[in-house]
Amino acid sequence: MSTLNTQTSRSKSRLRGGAVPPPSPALGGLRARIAAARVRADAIRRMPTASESPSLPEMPMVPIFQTPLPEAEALTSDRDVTKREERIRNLLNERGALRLLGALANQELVDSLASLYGSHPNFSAATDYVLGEAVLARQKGDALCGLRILLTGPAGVGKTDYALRLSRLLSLPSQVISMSNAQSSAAIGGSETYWGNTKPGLIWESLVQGDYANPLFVLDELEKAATAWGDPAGALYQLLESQTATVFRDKSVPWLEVDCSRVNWIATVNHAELLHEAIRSRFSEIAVTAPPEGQQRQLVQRLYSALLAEFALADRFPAHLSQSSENVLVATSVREAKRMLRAALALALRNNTAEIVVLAETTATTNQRIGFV
Amino acid sequence: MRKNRTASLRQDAYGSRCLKQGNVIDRLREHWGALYGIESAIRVQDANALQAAAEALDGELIRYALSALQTHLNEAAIRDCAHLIAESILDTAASQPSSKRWEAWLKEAPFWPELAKDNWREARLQAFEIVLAALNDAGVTLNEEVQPALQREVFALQLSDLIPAALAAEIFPAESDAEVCDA
Repeated sequence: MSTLNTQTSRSKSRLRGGAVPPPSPALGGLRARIAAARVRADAIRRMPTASESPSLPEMPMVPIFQTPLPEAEALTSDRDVTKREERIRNLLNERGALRLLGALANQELVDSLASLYGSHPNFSAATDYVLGEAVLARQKGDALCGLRILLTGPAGVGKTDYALRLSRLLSLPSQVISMSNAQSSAAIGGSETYWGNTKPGLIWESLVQGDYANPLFVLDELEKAATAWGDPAGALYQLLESQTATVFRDKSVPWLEVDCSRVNWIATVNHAELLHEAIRSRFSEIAVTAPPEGQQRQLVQRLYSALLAEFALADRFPAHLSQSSENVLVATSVREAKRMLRAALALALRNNTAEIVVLAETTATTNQRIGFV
Repeated sequence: MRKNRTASLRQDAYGSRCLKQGNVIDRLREHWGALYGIESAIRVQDANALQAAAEALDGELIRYALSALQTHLNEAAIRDCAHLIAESILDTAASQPSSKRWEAWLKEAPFWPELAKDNWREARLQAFEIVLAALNDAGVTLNEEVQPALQREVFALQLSDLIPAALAAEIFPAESDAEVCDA
């Protein structure tokens, strides 16, 4: 007996033998135009303020998958599977294939990226690289797409902070993926369809359900991805190569090829030698060290000013950190300096003093013994 | 205030001179009686009764009634086609329910396809307004470039763009796709 005979009368899909023909070119074009307008409207709505991206209404759009959608292979009688596929197809039809291309490489972007030299002086090599890519993109009249930067350096020098600062300057949606927590590649590349709770990965979701074709992903502590239960970085082999990224198939939606080649990647590692060579070679590797003393002192003062601004205390404490406090902080990492400043501020507020003093022994991680007196 | 035939003030549509003579309600009742009289006279083949019944008819009133029916049918076709066109444009469901709705509407009676064809231009105009309103309700604002382009594309739609080729051939067997609804 044919499998088709087991279908219920309520089944509306192609499993009943009545394949839904694709729309005519005229109707397909109309729907695509409306879907693109929806995506643009959603992007404007999601921007906190219009000033975040004044050029949004003029941003070009590019397709991330081909239309009409491919026909499904009706090899299953599982109603949940067909319902899920129908929901995904409805989503794809509603959103359409076009997505915005953010971070257009114009002079304004180049000027804003140059501010990274001041905010992150020890990342000048990375900033040089990004600006170089921006200039090349500007030459083509294109946007910043397909960045693949691997920041290597000791803990606490500000790698993740730099990546986040860069994403803000580019005005691109961004996500940080903590690779030290990842146990499989499902987070990035989706989970297999044979799992009952199969789900697309972050890349597919960001492109299909998001508004941009070139979002930014930060792969934090990439070398710390656990490999005991699978390779969390497995999907990256395809995603980090521009040709294969063009036809990426999420494991949860294997029938759809999505163009992920414009996605921007910034990975951070402490020990690049622990990465598989195939992954490492897909990035532009940039070594980052702690800033020299002169830059470190400037950085410390900036951290101090930022801390006062965060708590609206600029009028209460001196505009500059004292020399003695500065001397203590320049001997530490950026991460440690932030922690020590914060602890010193808390102490100053508790003691109601007029100055923030950082002492060498002041840390936020002082262990206190808990016990009976 | 501009009165619209589809708005609540429908009286404006019935301002014909022939309705203002005498009491039109009584005249309508008389015509129902006259029609029954004609049918009865034909059945019994009574020529005198037939003539008497025929003389009671007001040709102007009858013509007005026929005209009103034609107007209503055309308006219904425009309204329905406009909604179906808008549904097709906004239909993002994988199962494409809008195409099934077209088939049911076109096959309801033999005259609907012809009415659709005759009123296609007006239907497209209204469909564009419906689509625009739906997008506005959804918070989608069309800029100065997109709206005119969308309008052009809607106005260029043919019925053959909205229904499967097999259905188009079945509904309009003697005509090519290009001639189905070329307004």
